[in-house]
Amino acid sequence: MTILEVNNLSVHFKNGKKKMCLIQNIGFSIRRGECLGLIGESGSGKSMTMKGLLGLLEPSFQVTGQVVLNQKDWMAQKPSLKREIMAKEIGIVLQNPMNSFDPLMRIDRQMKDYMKHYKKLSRSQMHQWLLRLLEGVNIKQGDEVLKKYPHQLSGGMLQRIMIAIAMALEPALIIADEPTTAIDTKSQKEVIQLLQTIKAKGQAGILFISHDLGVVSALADSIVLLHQGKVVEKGLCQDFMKAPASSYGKELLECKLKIGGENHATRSC
Amino acid sequence: MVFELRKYILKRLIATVPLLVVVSFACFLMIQTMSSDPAEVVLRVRQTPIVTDKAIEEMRIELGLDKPFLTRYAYWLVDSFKFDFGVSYVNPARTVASELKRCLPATLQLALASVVFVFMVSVVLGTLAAYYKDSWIDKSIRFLLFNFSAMPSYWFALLAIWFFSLYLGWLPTGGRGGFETLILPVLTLSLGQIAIYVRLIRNNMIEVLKEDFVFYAKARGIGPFRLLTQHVLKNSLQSSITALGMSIPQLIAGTLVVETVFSWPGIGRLSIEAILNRDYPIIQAYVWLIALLLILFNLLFDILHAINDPRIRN
Ligand SMILES: Nc1ncnc2c1ncn2[C@@H]1O[C@H](COP(=O)(O)OP(=O)(O)OP(=O)(O)O)[C@@H](O)[C@H]1O
Ligand SMILES: [Mg+2]
Repeated sequence: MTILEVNNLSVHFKNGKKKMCLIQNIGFSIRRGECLGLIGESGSGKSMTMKGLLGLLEPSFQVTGQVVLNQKDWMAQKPSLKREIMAKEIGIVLQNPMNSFDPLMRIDRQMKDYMKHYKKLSRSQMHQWLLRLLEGVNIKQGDEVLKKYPHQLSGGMLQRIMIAIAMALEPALIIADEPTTAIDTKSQKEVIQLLQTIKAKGQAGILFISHDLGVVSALADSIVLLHQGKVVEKGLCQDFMKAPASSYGKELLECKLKIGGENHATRSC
Repeated sequence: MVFELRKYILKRLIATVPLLVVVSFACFLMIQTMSSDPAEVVLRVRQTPIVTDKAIEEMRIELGLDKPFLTRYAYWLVDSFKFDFGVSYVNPARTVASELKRCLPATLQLALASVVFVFMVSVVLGTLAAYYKDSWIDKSIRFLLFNFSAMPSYWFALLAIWFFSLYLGWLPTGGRGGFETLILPVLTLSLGQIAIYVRLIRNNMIEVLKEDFVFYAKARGIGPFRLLTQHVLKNSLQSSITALGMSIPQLIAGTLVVETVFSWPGIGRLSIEAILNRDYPIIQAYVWLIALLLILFNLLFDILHAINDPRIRN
């Protein structure tokens, strides 16, 4: 079943009279249990695609195109319903875990505050549930972690908490925007493994955004390659890794082979 | 966590001591180096018929002015911590402390009412201006505040008295009484501060709204009202909280003009009278009091800041 379908998505940025095109005519679809890798170098418009399709850009950005989420026209939904769907049906993991939490609020409140509207539990039940969520992402000392402020936790820890939050209400779609970029190698492995487990359960479709081809090949079934805001290649991940169809794809892959590393291949090009 | 906070408070308290010494010395020195001789002033003010050298000499002894400089400072400092600032030169029947005590409540009432007013208005206007950045709401808020705050406060006060008291006849022109007497003085006193805080809150909030955690909160489906009140506002008020610690003494000092215009019986008016009469002990006590309040509120709000922001304590 198709969870997310994006057709002809474009985002323009209006600055006075000037109108800049940031992404143009992007289209893809994701089925339940499938992972789509959205790849491209830094500045190619990956995050812009994600923000544009969610409708979370400021009014100075103009978004056109069609987004179908769970068979419903996403753009036409009322704002309040959109918020409810975003809370329940879409899980988000972002690139900078250190900046993604409110620095003045303890972790437990940040987790609880938005979930309690959708999950009616008593205080102690809620606490137990949060602990279980944290255990699900390999955080054993949940009691302590919940009491902490974000600056007292490591990036890898916060990244896993984000995954726990994303998974909490069993969403149909998970969007992960470079979840491995800002954390150390060990945490990267853990995050990938967690996402692999989530994928293996087959409950959700995953939109996995990354510039790191190594990480993408570990997770994605198919890929969409962006370059300067446009799709240059689409297809199965395996096929792309073996023999990219586009010349830009070839370039990228060669870069990666030359450097030989698994990480940060395209960014260093 | 509590332990960290206690350590922070202790650290800040200790750091205040040298500051107090320096400020008190400056305060003492300032008055000592004034050109006219206090003893002579006292004699004139008390309308002694003939001011002889001998009379001046006696008066110097009476006022303790014959002692060495540092001794006088030490006495003054010890006394001032006991809130003993001596007697008024103009009216020896009254102690400076009793004069201050008589006038301080009126000033504190005015200043605190202004702080509350400033804070409430600034939070609302600053938030609106930031959230609707560059829209007509933002532009008109900024336009109005810019114009009003550019006016000197005595000018605004006179305009306000003319319009609300004389033309419309809604509010009294001055004096201290019920709530209605508070409105114009508070408005006058607050205007400049409101302009400062609206700008501060607006600019901070615009920065905070760009932060990743705001996007993440939106992406979790948190609505605009919850987002602003729970996350954005608290994060945008950091610098305002510290600034407010400075504003309270500033407001108290700012009552100098407002109290005079609205004949509000506070320490501002008291000290203006003292300046006109060269009543040194009162001026000295007033300056010292304002300095003390500045230090005190600065300290208090730094601590509040630390309570609000866990990152500062480490
Ligand atoms: N607020 C903005 N105003 C104008 N242009 C913007 C803004 N934010 C991003 N852009 C432009 O949009 C383009 C796409 O940016 P985007 O953040 O989507 O890149 P990305 O592919 O996610 O890169 P990265 O790997 O660095 O995250 C960039 O060229 C950037 O300059
Ligand atoms: Mg990005």
